[in-house]
Amino acid sequence: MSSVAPTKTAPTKTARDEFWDGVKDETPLMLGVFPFGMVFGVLGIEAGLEPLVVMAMSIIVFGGASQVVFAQMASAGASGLVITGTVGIINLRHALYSATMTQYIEGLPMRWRVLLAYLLTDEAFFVTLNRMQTKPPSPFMHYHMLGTGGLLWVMWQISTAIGVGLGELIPDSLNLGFAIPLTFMAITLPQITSIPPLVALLVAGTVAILGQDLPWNIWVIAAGLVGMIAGYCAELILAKKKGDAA
Amino acid sequence: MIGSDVIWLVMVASGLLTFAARFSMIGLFQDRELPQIIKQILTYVAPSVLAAIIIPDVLLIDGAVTVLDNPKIPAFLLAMVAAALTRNVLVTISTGMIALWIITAWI
Repeated sequence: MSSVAPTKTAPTKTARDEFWDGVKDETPLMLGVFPFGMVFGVLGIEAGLEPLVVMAMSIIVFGGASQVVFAQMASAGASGLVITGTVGIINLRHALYSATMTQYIEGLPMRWRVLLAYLLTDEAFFVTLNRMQTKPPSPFMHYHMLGTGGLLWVMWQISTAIGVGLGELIPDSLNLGFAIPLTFMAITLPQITSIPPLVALLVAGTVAILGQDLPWNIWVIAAGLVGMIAGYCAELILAKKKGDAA
Repeated sequence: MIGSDVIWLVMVASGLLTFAARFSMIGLFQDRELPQIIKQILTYVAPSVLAAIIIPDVLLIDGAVTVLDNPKIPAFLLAMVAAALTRNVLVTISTGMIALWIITAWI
C-alpha cells in the first residue's frame, strides 16, 4: 500500500470492470428476456418454420419483437418482401439508439462500432445508456455495452433453443410474452422524473394505439418519433413558462 | 408459406436491414457531433420508444383495445406499484407475472 492520500475521485474503471458491470446490470432483465426467447422459439415452430431457421433467426436478426412478427407473417403467407420491409421498419427505432450511443463512443475503431451495432438491442441499449448517463465516463465504457449485449445475446440464443425444444410443453396460459412489457416498464419508470418525459410517454403511447392499422407496423417508429418531439416541445414550453414567471 | 430456400434469403435481408438501422449513426457520426437539437430530442428516446412498445402490448387483445376483461391491465398496474416502491427489475417482473397468473386463474 502506498501512503498517497486518497483522492476524491474514484479510480477509473478498467475494461474488465466495465464489462462485468454491464453483465451485472443486465442480469435482472434476464427474468423477462428468457421467457420472451422461449415464446419466440415456440411461436417459430408453431408458425411452421424449421428448427434451424428459428435458431438462425435469433443470430441473424437478433431482435425479439421483429422476430415474432416475422414468424407470424410467414405463417400467414405474407410475401418475403413484405416480411423484410416490416422487420426493417419495426427495427428502424434502433437508428435512434444508434444516434444516442454514438455520442458516447467517440474515437472507437470500426471493428468495435460494427460489434456494438450488432449488439444494439432494446434491452442492452437502455441498460448501457443508464450507465453512460449516471456514472462518470471512462475510456473503457464501451466494454459495458459488450457486457450487456453479450449476456443478452447468449441468453437469447439459449432461450430460443429451449423454446424450439420444448415447444408445446410450454402452455399458452402462462402468458410468458407479458414479461416483455413488464421488463420495459421496469426500465422506463425510473426515467419519468419530470413532466416532459411523461408527455413523451403518453403521446407515444397514444400514437402507437391510434396507428395500429397503419401498414408495415409503421406505428412503432412513428410513435417513437412523435413522442420524442412532444417531450422536447413540453420541455421548451415549460422552460418558457418558467422564464415568463421569473 | 414461403419456400424453405427463400426463407433464408428473407431472413438475411431482414438481418441486414436491422443491422443497417443499428449501425447507421454509429457508423456515420464517428467524428462529427450531432446537432444540439437532435441531442435534446434524443434524450426522450427511452420513454417514447418503450411506451410505443409497452402500451399496445398491455391494452390490445387480438388487435383491439380491451379495457374491461383485460387481466393484463390490473397485473401491469400492480407491477407499476412494485416498480415504484422497490425500483427492482426482478420484483417488478415477478409481481406482474404472478398477478397475471392469479387473475387469469380467478376469472
